[in-house]
Amino acid sequence: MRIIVFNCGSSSLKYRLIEMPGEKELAGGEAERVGPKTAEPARIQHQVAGKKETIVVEMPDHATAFTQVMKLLERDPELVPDAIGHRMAHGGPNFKQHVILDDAVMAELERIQELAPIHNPPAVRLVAACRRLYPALPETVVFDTVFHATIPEVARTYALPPALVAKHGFRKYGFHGTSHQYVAQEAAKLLGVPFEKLNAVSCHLGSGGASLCAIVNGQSIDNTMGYSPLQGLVMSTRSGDLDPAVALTLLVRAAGNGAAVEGLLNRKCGVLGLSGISADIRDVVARAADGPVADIDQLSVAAQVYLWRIRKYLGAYLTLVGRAHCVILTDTIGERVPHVRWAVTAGLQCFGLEIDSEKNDAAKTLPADLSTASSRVRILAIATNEEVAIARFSYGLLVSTDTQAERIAQ
Amino acid sequence: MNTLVLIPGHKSLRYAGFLAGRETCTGTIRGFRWQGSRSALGEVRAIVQAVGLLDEDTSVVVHGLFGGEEFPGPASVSDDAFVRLDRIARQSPLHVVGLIETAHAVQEVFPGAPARLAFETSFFVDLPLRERTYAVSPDLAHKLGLRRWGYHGLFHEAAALEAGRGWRKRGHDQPARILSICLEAQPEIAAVLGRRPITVTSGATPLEGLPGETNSGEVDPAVALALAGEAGLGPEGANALLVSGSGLSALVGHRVRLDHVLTSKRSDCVRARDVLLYRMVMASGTAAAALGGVDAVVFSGRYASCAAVVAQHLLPKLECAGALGPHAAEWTVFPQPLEAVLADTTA
Repeated sequence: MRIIVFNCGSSSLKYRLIEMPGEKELAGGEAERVGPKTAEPARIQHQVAGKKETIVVEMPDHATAFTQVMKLLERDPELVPDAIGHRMAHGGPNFKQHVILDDAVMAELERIQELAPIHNPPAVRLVAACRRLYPALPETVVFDTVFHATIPEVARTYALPPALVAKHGFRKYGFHGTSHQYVAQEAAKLLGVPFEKLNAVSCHLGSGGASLCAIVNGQSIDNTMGYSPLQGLVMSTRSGDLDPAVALTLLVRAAGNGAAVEGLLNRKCGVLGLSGISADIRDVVARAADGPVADIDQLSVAAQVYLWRIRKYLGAYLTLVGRAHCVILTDTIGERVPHVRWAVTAGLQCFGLEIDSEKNDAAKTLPADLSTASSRVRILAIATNEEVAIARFSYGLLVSTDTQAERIAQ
Repeated sequence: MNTLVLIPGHKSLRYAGFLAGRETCTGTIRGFRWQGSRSALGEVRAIVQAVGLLDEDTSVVVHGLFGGEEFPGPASVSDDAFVRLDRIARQSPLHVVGLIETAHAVQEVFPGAPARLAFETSFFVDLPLRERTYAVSPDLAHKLGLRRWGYHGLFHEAAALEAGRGWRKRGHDQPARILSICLEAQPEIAAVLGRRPITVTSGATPLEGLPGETNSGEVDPAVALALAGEAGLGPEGANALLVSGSGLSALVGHRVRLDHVLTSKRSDCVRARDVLLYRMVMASGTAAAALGGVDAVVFSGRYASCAAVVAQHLLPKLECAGALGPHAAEWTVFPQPLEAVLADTTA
């Protein structure tokens, strides 16, 4: 079965065509600059069997981008998809399992899309376009929040009046679940630990969003993101944790314009806001550190604040997890930036973490174990692959004989 | 030397008199703001005079919640102090304006008595940059005076000093890595290295951090905005809800005190306690990571008598993760009330 996996950004559409169950990638690429015209033309970077091509084409919306991607694939009958798998950031309170798309799912997706105003609406529009243009293709929806459905009540509860919570759904949901689950499964394989026994802290450090996840017995018990993807770590343009009184002060200053404050906290804070030069922590760390980082005090304020927040949460989650098997570092920053890996794990011998600086600097091929031989907790850099994870979930759903109702009830 | 300690609140004024270091009288004047500082202090003057506390040797200490970067330590009530208070009034108007009024009244009601101000935030003035900085642009942070503070600095400082003495008595030369847990109506956890704070759970205001008797503690900033917008409360209404209508009382369903939540067996209290203890475990793990391990755990605050409940839950988790040093499981309680801590401060 060939499954095309779509990962929809606000102005991009990443895709991979994966042959299942063998997990062979047949094609992939990214439609860039989807939406209103920008300084550079919209284009698709398309790749088949290692051969890359760039197609410049107008893509005013995700539906057009999707159509163009399908046209490229349909040039070769061996690349025509049998099913579509969608990544959806937020599943709200009701999607506790990944699902096959139907009318009821579509209606619920539309109802909850404002829970993640940056991420969900374009993805929901894409799902609708796929349904309209290729009604015969089965579609699945894989939610970032599903892995976190196991977060216990005590961890997901905000100390707010229950009536308000019930009315507005204020609770921690957690995000990046697909990635956290994928790398945790890979870590379990590497360590020879059954996944359902794995205790770990997974650090998904993307160049955009980032979160940590505490995992006990293969289940998520906490995630640094909260009701929205704004809470938690310092991210490229998101503030992460912030005194709620400050958010309200900003609202007063913005004359009650909540969208403006949300825009500020989501798009102009974080590494970009602190550094004033770049939203990418790699630029900030590179400017500040030449060679291994000896002490995070030597770094710029932006780098210090970014790294410190990760270290703090790492300590919190290692305490929650208890006897952890491993700490996992993944996604763009976790996979490729040794400075960051070192700065967030060094000096935590008290938690059983001993990073080997040589192994860390040398790790080019992943997965890699970055810890010393005596480290009680392994420090692993593992490449995430959300698309393969989505293809796995999608394949599982499509070959299952369970009905949708049975799956949701499980 | 005799000391009169004054703790002005929003509605009441707590006072305590110390004769040669021993507490001789204590009480609360209700309706303090309503009747005015001068009148309330006049009542206090009469009381302390009656117990023989007021003589030429008596000094007055006034408690302040927020002193900003202008007050890195206690300061004499003086023209200079009033200038500095004026400078920080914009950052915390509710507290500072009231404090200015009280300090003026002290000068009038106790003329000639040396008076000093002692602030909860002073201990945290030098919080490391990486800890005190929010991930917003420096311009915005400067405009709003935005940074992290702790709001129980007097307890943390005194308790950490005491814990450090115990550490040194065991023969250690290195500064102790101290987990300081203040059990007040708004509880607060700080990591202290020797005498220097490294992390603290509160934020720009006391709202952030652990949930308290009526304050929510940490919530997603998007929730605060949704309360103001979607829920129709507006910014002021949302702030009032988060500060006064949330926290442990909201989880229980009626107004509760922290000690009640920590010790009650009622199911509604158990749920609230579980939420609080969970956040405390997180904050303690954070502190342990910041310190590189924990050598000593010390409890303080008016509900420090409930320390065992917290310690029994929290310390095994730190120990299991490996973050607890060899003697840290022998936690201690700093028993002094705030009044005694204030009496010990020197300008």
